[in-house]
Amino acid sequence: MTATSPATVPSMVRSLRPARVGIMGQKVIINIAILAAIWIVLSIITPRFLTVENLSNVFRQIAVVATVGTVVTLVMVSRNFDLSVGGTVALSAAVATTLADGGSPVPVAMLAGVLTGLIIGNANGFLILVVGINSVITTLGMMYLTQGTALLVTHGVPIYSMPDGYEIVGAGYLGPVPAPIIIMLLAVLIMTFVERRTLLGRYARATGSNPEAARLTGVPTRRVQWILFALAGAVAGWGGIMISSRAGGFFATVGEGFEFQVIVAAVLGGTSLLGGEGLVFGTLLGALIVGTLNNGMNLLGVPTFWQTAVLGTTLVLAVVLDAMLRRRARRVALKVTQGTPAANQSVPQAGASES
Amino acid sequence: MLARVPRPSPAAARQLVNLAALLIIMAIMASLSPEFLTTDGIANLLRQVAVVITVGGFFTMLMVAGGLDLSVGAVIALAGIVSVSLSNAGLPLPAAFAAAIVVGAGVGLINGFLVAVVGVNALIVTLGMMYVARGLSLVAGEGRAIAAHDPGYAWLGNGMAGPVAVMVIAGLIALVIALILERRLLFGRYTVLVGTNPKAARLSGTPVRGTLIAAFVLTGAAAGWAGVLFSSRMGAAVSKAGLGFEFDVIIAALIGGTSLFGGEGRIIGTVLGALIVGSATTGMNMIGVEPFVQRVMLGVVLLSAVGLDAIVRSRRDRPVRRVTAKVAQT
Repeated sequence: MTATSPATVPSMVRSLRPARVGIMGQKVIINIAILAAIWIVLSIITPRFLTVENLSNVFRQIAVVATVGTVVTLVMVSRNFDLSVGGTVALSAAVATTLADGGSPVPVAMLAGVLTGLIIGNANGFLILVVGINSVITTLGMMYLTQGTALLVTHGVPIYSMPDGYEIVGAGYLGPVPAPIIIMLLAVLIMTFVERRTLLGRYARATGSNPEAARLTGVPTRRVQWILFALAGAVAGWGGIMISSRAGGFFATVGEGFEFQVIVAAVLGGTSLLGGEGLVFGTLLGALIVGTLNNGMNLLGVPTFWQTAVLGTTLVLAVVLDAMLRRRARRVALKVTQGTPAANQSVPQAGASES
Repeated sequence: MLARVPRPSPAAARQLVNLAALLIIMAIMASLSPEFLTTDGIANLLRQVAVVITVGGFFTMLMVAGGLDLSVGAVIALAGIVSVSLSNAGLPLPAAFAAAIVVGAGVGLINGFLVAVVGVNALIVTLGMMYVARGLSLVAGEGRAIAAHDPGYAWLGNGMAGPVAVMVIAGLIALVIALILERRLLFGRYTVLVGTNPKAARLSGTPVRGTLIAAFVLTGAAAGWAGVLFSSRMGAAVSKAGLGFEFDVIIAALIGGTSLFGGEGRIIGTVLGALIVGSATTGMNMIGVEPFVQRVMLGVVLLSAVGLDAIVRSRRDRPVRRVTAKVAQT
């Protein structure tokens, strides 16, 4: 191999690899820079920002979005969407609070919430992978179904009287650290491990990059996608427990717009809508950016109405930046392949000489 | 060549199935509620469907071209606020209405530019624009309703032209324009080409970017007009107008057989889809079904419609696959 192509293969590898790793790396660096800039500006403008209490507030507010986002990121990496997580959050919260209110032990109620999510996730998997409906439509329909069922279960009436112990996962503390933050960090750690070190993570990426090629190389693409949907459902069910635990019960607007918050965090974090690309850690950063912006605007007394517009502008700017980065990377890659025509031919030769 | 893009007959079959579904739903509703098939009931149904149809025609063409616009609901709110505010400031009604349409077209132009020229995914761009437009309308309306002072403002939404509501006619005008674009002008063919295979379309001389941008602008303008109708119906502009409207339109289009991936879909299907959803919801309202149950039913209707479609499609493709497999063996 070294005899046939001493220069071309390494140079091609060197020129292609940074372009691919580079985009995610660049995005993480850019996001950390953006986050740092926002934090510095906010701590200069308002002394109330950089306090332990306020920062813990920021993290607590994003905890559920980031927790659910870790799995949704992998769903998106495998080239699918899950718009039903908001409805799942609502239905799970409805089921769990109704059970707890009716006298079931707290762990049983919580387990029922997670199971509800698991069932919804499996229903999504069945409809998408067996019946063959597109994931956007399936989960959109499931969103209506679950939201409606949540209100049906509770008759749309708020549930407030939660038994002792129900508040631990959402509003409790482990030592000085709020429990939801610990849960969020655990989720990020576990899913990063799944993403980087397990077959599920690699298969998800392979499936999302090129489903046909992945299937032909023996990746069980259907099972991978199904598992991810089931997992997303279960985690969304757990998210419903966290939200209702923090709020101390169920109210009719639980989970409204939640799916969009999750997708916005993932996209800000660099997850591609076309599948194949995305980082669990990036989604945490994306959620942090949105959370910090919201928190900062609250501290500065920006009317809530403006906050919606700012959130939208942030999202549009982020995706425009993403499109421009990608276009540049593509141009660089194009220039490289055009510049070294020999590189294309040397690869099969190298493979042939090896065998 | 452009004048004859072949239409597969399954598309027509699909519309017949939808028509049958519509008739069945109407028959069920009529048997459950005596009010349903009265002139009042029908007028109510048509008025409810009118706003969806106003946007739905252009929206279908946008989807056929491979685009999607989640910002239409927010544009309805923004356009309503613009037209009511301008009318209250003393502008004549036609000018205020035109301004609302221009605002909608402007949002559509930004969407189209970002999607077709910058190359950002349509779903995300229009999701961002949804937040921006909704945020602006919340800022402008301060979360309160702005009542229209001009007594003539409410005519479009509440007036009658003979036996027909003006609002229905206003919706039909938008629909007819869309139908002419789809069936009689090159634009309709272009959307199919762009949505089916953008690369082939570009190489055969179709203005791909122009078609996409025009589809976004038209959809935005239609949403602006829908905002006028909506605010006229209420006699006021509300910041929360059109909340979730984007899903109403998408569901109507999907039930009508429009593909999420572009290249497939007909306006008439969206109209049928809107009528199906509309008669189901108005019927359930009349019978007194709880709104929660209605939402569940909407989910079930959507899933069963597209599920049926997926099954039919896979059965349709199966003989082709068998033939190609046999060819591959030999």
